[in-house]
Amino acid sequence: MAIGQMPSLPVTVLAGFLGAGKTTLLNHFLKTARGRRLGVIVNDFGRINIDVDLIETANERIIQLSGGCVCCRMDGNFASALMELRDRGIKLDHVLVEASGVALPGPIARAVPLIEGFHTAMVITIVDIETISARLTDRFMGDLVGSQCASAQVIIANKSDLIGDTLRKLIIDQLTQSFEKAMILSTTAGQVDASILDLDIAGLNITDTSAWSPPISADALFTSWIWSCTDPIHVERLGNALAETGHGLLRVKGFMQDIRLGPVLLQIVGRHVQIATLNSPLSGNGDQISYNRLICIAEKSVKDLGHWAELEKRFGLVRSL
Amino acid sequence: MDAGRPHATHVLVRNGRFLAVGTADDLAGFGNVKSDDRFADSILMPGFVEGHTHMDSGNIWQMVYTGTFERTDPDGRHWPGLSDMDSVLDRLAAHRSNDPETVLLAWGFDPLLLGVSLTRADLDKVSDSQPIVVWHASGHIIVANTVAMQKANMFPPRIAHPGIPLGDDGLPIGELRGIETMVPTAMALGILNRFMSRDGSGARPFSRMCVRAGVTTATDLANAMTDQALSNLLEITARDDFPIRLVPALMDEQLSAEGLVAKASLLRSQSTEKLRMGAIKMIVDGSIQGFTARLLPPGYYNGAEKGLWYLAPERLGDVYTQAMASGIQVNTHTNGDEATDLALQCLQKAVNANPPSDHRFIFQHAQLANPDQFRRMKSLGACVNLFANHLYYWGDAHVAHTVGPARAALMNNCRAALDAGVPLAIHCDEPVTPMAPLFTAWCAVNRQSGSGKVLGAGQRISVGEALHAITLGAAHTMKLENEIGSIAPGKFADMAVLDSDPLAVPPFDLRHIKVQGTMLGGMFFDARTI
Ligand SMILES: [Zn+2]
Ligand SMILES: [Zn+2]
Repeated sequence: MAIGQMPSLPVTVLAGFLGAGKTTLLNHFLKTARGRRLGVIVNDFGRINIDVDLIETANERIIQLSGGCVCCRMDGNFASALMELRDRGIKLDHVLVEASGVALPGPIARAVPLIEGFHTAMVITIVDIETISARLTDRFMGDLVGSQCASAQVIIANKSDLIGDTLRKLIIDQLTQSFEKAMILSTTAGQVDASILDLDIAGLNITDTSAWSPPISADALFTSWIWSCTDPIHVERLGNALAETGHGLLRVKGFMQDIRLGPVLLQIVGRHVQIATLNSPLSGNGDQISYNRLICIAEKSVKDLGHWAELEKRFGLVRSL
Repeated sequence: MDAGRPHATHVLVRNGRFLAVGTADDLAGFGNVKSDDRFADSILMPGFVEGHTHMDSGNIWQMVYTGTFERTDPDGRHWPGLSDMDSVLDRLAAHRSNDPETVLLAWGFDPLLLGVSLTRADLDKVSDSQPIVVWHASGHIIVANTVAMQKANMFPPRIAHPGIPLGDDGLPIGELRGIETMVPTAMALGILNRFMSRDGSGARPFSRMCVRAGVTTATDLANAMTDQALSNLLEITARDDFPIRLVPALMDEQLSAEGLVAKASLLRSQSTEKLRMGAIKMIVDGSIQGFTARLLPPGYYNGAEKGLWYLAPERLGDVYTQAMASGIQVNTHTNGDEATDLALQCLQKAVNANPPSDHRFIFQHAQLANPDQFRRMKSLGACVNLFANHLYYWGDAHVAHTVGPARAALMNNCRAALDAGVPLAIHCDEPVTPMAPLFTAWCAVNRQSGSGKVLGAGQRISVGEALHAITLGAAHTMKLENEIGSIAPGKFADMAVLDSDPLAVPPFDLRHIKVQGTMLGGMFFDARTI
């Protein structure tokens, strides 16, 4: 996967108040990892209910799963767990840090890049759609829950089957208004696919929800794939074409060879296109970067590959996965 | 110090317990006794009971002390307080080795009291070759010199981080704020385990500090009680020359409420006469001087943010309810009044869910608790252990920065607690402030800050009330009143040996009374030679 060749390992912070469904979501990520080697840092193995058949090796702090995933128990601080994962040389594509129910994910997310070899991919905050309004106005915990949501790039409104359509829409609208920079997803039982992790958006400074149009509200809604091409292309034109509405693309990211600029990093979030030139090979790891491979993430409902076929013709891309 | 018999000239001890107390005549009926007049010129009090200390403070002295107040280490060495930056840097310089491989670690530096902050540039003057890390007294900030920051890969910072403030020159000033920047730094420098040990190795140096303070029973108020810690503590405390009864409280954030209560129950069953286990510790919010305690409106005097929650109310409620059902006592750290409010609310639910019991859950610190909250504690069957030492050590900072003069005058309101009928203890939180129960009593009696300001004369308590709070009162909060806390037949022969009578000296001189040693189970430990 392209992410494995990035100069640093993406870390997603998973936050949410007690009972919101963090554990279910973590389990679902592990189940839908599909080739992504996930490292999961948890407070306690007991609560994530790992299927014993999947466990390859285990010690007091680390459990290695047969799918290539690894669970590491954090004793005290997540930083030591991250360093342990790094220093053991376990090859991973993504690390998930499960924050405690009262933790502020913001400081954790800001601390990740202080540890050599990691960057923050995003903060995902999961909330219980039935109780979130009460939580946000709770006399004691309201500001804490608000801060958990405000630090998030993705807010997952869980257990959405427990309330009616009208109420659900109302709450989603409220969340959208209150937390402008976050993508709000609704799901019934933490069933969000692990491909959401490929978003890797924390560094992009998204300031409003227009990045996430059209609105997203379905279970198991992500799909991702990689495109690659062999020759340098006109990256700006490609970017603009991909950002056109109607494709249902949420996120595109990859290193490209531009015909004019040379090596660039292309990033698209919704309709925002960002192209950064790379003057020097990235921190000595340049040789590890595969150019002209784009990771694309879209809503699962995106089936109209006609667009893609058209784009492929125009830009000479080859779909590889 | 039994209420019915406040004074006596003789005590009789057999098998480590008091057999009788009174006059020589009162004791005559016991027949042939061996008399011991070593303490004829001393005052014997019940051994002091410290309801809130941390055993690992015994290890903290492996670092260099740089605080504002004078302190004494486990070896009895005095460390004068440092009142300006030059003396801080001089002390660091006296301990440097310029060896790039060993980190010079210091603790106790308090910018709030010193009025200046310590920077990387200051520390570079001490050494530009040896890594130096200085730990703030609040515990939430460290300061590093350039070599240390480079070694930890924090200089220049790889990214902008709010916990790594930059100076006018765009370079880090040297402060690493918050656990999220401190831990990676400490790990990169290989010093994380030197900040705190969890194996029980602090017990011995800690117990020596207790003897000098007249303390015979002390808590270790947050211990993970690993198997290693348990076996070490069982072994260390069983020795005859171990001079205190140790009361660890179990803290383990990884365990479920059921698991926590089950572990506490198991520990309780393994208790001995000198190692009393079974209590639980929970932490609700941060500290007032660190601006992380949760305050009710109007919040912090200097406008700082609302503070932090360290646990969810559901968690606290579950632990309360289940611990109460199993007869396990819970110590709850709350500093801010909002945190106390939350804990009271959780306690109310636990009380409602359980049959009536003598649970005596203890509010630890509860520094801003108000009279209404004390009344609720009383009606719910709780006890309180107030942080009287704070009035002296941070009183001036509370007036100027944290809560302002009006609320500072009501902090650690022992008067209101007693008036509401709440069983009261007072504490030092060693290593946060030095252990010395007579000094703690002095604080509750005089309510004077480090600069000599009286904080709320109306909240003072009497010397007798304060002495009760450091003996039988504290023992009662710990449910040990049948075994310790007073000189009464049947109780352990635990005493503090003093050079003068706290009830005879002027209240302002309480702090000057010298502790000559302690007696534990009838065995004398000399403060001069411990
Ligand atoms: Zn505390
Ligand atoms: Zn404490």
